[in-house]
Amino acid sequence: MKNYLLAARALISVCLLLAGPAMAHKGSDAYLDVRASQVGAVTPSTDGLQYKLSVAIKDLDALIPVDANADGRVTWGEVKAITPAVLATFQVTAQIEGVGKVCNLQWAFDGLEKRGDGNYIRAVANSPCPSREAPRFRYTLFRDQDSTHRLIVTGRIRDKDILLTSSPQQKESMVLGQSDIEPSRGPWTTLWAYLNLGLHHLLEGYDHLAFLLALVLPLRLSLWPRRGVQVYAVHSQQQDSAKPKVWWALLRTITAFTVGHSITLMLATFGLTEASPAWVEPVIALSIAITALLNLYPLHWLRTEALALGFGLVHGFGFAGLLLEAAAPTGLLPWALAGFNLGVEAGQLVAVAGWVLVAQLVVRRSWYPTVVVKGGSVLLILLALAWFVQRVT
Amino acid sequence: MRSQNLHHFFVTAIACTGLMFSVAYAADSLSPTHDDEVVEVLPTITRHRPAVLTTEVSVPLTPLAAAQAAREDIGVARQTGDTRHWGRAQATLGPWWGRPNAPVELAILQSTVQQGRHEFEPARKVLADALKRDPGNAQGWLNMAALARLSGRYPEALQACEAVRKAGQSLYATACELETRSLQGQHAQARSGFKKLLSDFKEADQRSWIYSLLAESEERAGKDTVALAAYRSSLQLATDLYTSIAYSDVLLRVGNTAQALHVLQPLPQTDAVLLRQATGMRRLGDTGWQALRTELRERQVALERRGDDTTLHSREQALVALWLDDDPGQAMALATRNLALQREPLDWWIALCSASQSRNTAQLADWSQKVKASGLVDARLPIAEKSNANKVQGS
Repeated sequence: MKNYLLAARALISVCLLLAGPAMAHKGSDAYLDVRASQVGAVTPSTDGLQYKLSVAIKDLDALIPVDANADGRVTWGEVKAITPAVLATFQVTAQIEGVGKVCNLQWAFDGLEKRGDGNYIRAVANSPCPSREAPRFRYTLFRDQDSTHRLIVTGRIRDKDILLTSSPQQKESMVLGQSDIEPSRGPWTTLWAYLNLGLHHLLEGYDHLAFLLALVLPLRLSLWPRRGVQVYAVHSQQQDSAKPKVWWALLRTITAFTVGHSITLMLATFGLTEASPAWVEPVIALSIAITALLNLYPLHWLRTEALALGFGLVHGFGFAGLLLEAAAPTGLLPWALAGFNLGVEAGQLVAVAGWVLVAQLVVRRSWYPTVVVKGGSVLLILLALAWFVQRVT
Repeated sequence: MRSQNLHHFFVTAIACTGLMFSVAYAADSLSPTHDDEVVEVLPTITRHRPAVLTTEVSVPLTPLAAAQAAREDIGVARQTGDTRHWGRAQATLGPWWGRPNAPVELAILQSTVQQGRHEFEPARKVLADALKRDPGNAQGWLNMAALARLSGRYPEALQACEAVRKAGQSLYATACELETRSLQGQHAQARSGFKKLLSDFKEADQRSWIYSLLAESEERAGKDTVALAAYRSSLQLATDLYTSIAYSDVLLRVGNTAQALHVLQPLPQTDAVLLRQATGMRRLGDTGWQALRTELRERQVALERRGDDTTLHSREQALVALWLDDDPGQAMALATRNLALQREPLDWWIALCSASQSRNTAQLADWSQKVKASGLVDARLPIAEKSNANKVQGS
């Protein structure tokens, strides 16, 4: 009874506060900022996200002994000493989901920051496995310590601002931003969705475009040959070709490239082979340089179709990486693959058609072989070498 | 069911927060240079932490330990104004929160947390249910009386006070009755009663509490000088955030602005403190008040962004409109919303001031009538009815 009364009095002595005018600070918030870690990434497959999580020191102290000497004052030394425990806690309470352990965020200390209601510890993590799907983030920090704790999520994913508020009590993980591709679909919608993905990937992936340009640059593709003007291809084998032969050469070259990348794309998608982006990406850059170099110094024994086929195999691995990241549903994989391939082909046709139209301005000039073919090839070599260095380092 | 509600709540909250893209939530970097540099001062020293940090399941507390831990958090929330401790108390009570079969002690603590967050109606329901199961719980009846007074239901408050007496806590029952009767206008009786209680209660925090009740009673009696002395006596015995704010309110009201700012200066920077500081600074011609006004606006946005119900803070919002924004029309709208939540003398005072300054005689007459009907007698209210814009209310 005595104990009860003491407890009761402790309450009563501040009982009048119940109706008091004291409007307090807001409750406890943590902040998550998510955005692309590198602006202008070379291809979508390297377009990773960076996560920054800021948690109030006074909140963390309820869970982890940040204030190690229990004097109510947290020093910089105490923060440094407890950081490994803080990061270990983040590791299990603030994590992306459904990607497997290998793709888990690895939180690292990123400094201290001052906000309106106190000072915060900030941690940073880069998503190791970029994905076309919207990331699912699971947050359970302070779930059992503070019922009104909230996570405020800001950032920018795929050119869309995100602003979310979530609670650690939420059962479901939160979806950060919109997926490129809707999760539930039939064969035809899958085909269509992946056709779009392939089309966009080719048209946005400027390394594939550069390779195509290097291949078709020597072909003098004139739509309206004037009588008396000799139309010929500058490439070795087609020195004296007539006009239909040039278009036939174009078709053979593009088809060879298509066959090449379709083979590796299929093999990789079905898991029969795999290739690391570590060598695929630099080799794609090299393929551009080599093709452009062959425009300057043609090898008579090397057919353009063979070149297109060989390097097509390498580019196929590049496409495959993207298709795997887009996480095609297993049952619909053939449809996804077919759609993606069709999309890439459509993209190629659009790109080549575009080039043919642009080329009409210069294709009948006498300086076309020197300025456009040779000058263009030199520029492509320089560009490709720059990409190569960027991808190796 | 709860999870579904929660889900619904967040969907709504997310939709609402879409409006707030433009607000920047910048954080400044901190770069401590040496290990001894203090990077944070904690509102309290944490005594209990979960034993295992990285597991998903925490060890459940016994009801006794949970009650103890929740009381500590409630105390910190009140003394520091740091709302996060209400959330911590709720988490501590988590296994019993909202359960009809929760131990009465824990149900009362739940209602205390809800009350602290201005969720008065849910608090009353939980409390009523707990008291049905344990009608002899003095603490529960004291809380019930406070809730009844807060809503201006004085007869109901007196019944609750009587129940406290039946539960064997006659001194607390007397304090409860005196406070209620003082609200009903029996100021002289309250004065002598509180003075007797000051000799009956021996401990400093008890006597501090009675002094603060006396001070409020004297304010209602229109005796500001006596009230100020009682507030000082209360604060000398024990520091208390609520009492300090109430003390500063009298000082602001009687025009002793510098002294009010002096009282507010060491207090935790809650919104209630900030808005009074801004008011004081503005009256003294200190342009620094505008920065505080901006800060209050940002805090409001931060609350909305969390998904909090900001209507629970209508009283402070109305005061901001009245004192800082010179917008009695807006103050009146906010006061209307606030009266649906709570009806303490201060709430009526804000309502009457805003109606008077808006020159809305119909609303003024209506509220005046409602004050009379509730039985509240407060010398400040007739003055509020005649208040003019930007005029400091005289004593």
